[in-house]
Amino acid sequence: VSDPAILVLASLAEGDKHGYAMMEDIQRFAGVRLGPGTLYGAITRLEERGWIQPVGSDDRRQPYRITGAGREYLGHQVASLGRVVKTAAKRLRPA
Amino acid sequence: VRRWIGWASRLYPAAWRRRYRTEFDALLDDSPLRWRDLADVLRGALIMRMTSWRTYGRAAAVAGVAGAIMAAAVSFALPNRYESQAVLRYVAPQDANVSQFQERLERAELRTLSRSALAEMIQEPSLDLYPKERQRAPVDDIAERMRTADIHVDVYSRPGEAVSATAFVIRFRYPDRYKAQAAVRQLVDRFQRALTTGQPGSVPEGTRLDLLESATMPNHPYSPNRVSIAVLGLLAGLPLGLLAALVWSRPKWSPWMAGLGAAGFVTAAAMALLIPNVWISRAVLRLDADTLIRLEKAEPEVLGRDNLVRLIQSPPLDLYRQQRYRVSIAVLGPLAGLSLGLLAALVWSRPKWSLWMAGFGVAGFVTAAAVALLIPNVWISRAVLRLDADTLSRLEKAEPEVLGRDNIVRLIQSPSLDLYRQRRSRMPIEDVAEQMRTRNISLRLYPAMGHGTRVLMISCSYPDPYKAQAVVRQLVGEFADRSAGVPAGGDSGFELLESATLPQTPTSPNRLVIATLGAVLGLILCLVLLRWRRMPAPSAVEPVPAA
Repeated sequence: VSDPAILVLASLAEGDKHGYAMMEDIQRFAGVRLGPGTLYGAITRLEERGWIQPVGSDDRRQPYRITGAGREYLGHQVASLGRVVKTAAKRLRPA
Repeated sequence: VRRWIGWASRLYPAAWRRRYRTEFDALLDDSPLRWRDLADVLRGALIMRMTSWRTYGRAAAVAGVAGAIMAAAVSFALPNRYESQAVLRYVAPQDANVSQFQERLERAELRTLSRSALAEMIQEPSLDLYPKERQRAPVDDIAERMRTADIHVDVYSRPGEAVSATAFVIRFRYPDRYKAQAAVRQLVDRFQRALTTGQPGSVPEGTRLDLLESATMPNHPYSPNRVSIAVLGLLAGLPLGLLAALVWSRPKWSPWMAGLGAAGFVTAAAMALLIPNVWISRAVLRLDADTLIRLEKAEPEVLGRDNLVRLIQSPPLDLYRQQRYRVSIAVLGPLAGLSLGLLAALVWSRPKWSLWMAGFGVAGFVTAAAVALLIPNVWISRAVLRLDADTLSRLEKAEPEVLGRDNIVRLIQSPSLDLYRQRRSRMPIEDVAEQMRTRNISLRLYPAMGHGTRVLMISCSYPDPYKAQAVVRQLVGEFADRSAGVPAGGDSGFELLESATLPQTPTSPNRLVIATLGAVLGLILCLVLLRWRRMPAPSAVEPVPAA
């Protein structure tokens, strides 16, 4: 699972986070370090599609929140991924 | 690394940076950055750019298509021109003495395409060519334009072992396809008649002139080429679309682009004004073998240094007087450079003034250009005569009469000229004549080679090129009648070196210079207002909060 968009959505599913917090969280739960360019490329696309939205903040760090549509999309992706994982695990099991 | 990545982040599109720059910088400040993050940011900027380039591409495509449609629409407003052609072939045995016949061919071509022959053809009732143009210009001038612009004679020679063949393709372009064909038919007929009648010499044995293709009926217009015009419109629209997208996406760049574009335009225009025009004149001679040998012997003398020095220094020519250009370049060059430097420094130090300056400059340019369009064009026609000493003394005696008030009044009121109609309604005709004599008619006398010989240049300036030419023609005729008493061009002391010219471009006003001066005045006015009235820069105007 290395799609930066899925990783960002998965990180925000836990709660609002700014860029650096997302970067840290993703590295922790997925073992993938997203570079600044990759992370903000994903944030830009997700915001354009309405799957995340900025949360009001006085700080330079801008937190983001996953939207309902974003949760729905993430749910579909996780379900689909789950089916793939289940099938692959079953097939890998010795007969 | 942080600094490098900071630089790289500037490569993101402006719109993206406006939205994300602060938080992106915060992320860069928080993260422990590595060199590979630089590549990551560069890649991200490239991807964003490519997304942004789609906008540029769309703008260019839309503007290109719009340009193509507009150009195509304009092309449909242009009248069609049709080209008819006929092909003649002259075939001669290789051993025949063909030089005599070739000379006849050339003479026939010259007679067929002479100004008088074409003028006669234009006025022939069955053809009745150029009816609208004939209302505005003498038929001789129309014949000249017809010969140089609309009739094309191409000669193709094919030397062979047994025979040699020369093909003549006669083409004529005209807005009416039927008249184009009829005119080519006439030209071929006249050419064949000129070849077979009225000239000494005989047709060498074995030679013949065949009409390979009689005058064609053009089915499709020769011009305008609407596809080419539409493609030009497309090519013009593409960069304009890109420019519009650039201005749209980078509004802060606009004053800079406008300022630098205007500065480049002014610099180039100033430089172009300093470069003198160069004109090419040529003469074509036909020589037989003996004359050619004599000419080759004479060449070192004619083109020798002494002769060229004499030519350069002869007063009527007075060639290469470049000093004044050097002075102009020496003075105006640094001045232009200094002004541009000051302008650049000003824009650099007061960036907020740029918008005002660009606005005033453009407004000044447009206003001055609009005013310049209201100023009528002035055209100068001239004729050049060569006079010997006796003729000159007769001419000097005739001058008060030719340029006398009564004669000028007659000239102004002659129905064919009808000069200064508006001015005549405002002031007495005698004053109009006096103004014309002192301001618009010029006689200049230059020494020339030969004892007592002089060159006289008669010129007239007027808002109508055809009337300017007609006045000069009239004055030349009157001087010829009164001073020489023999026809101009005859074997007398009065020779017409250059008949009254039809000016091709107006001598004034120079609208580019006026518009450029307008831009400069606009800039100066802007600076004065900004300095003394302390005008706020447009970007500094804060919106008034709602109550």
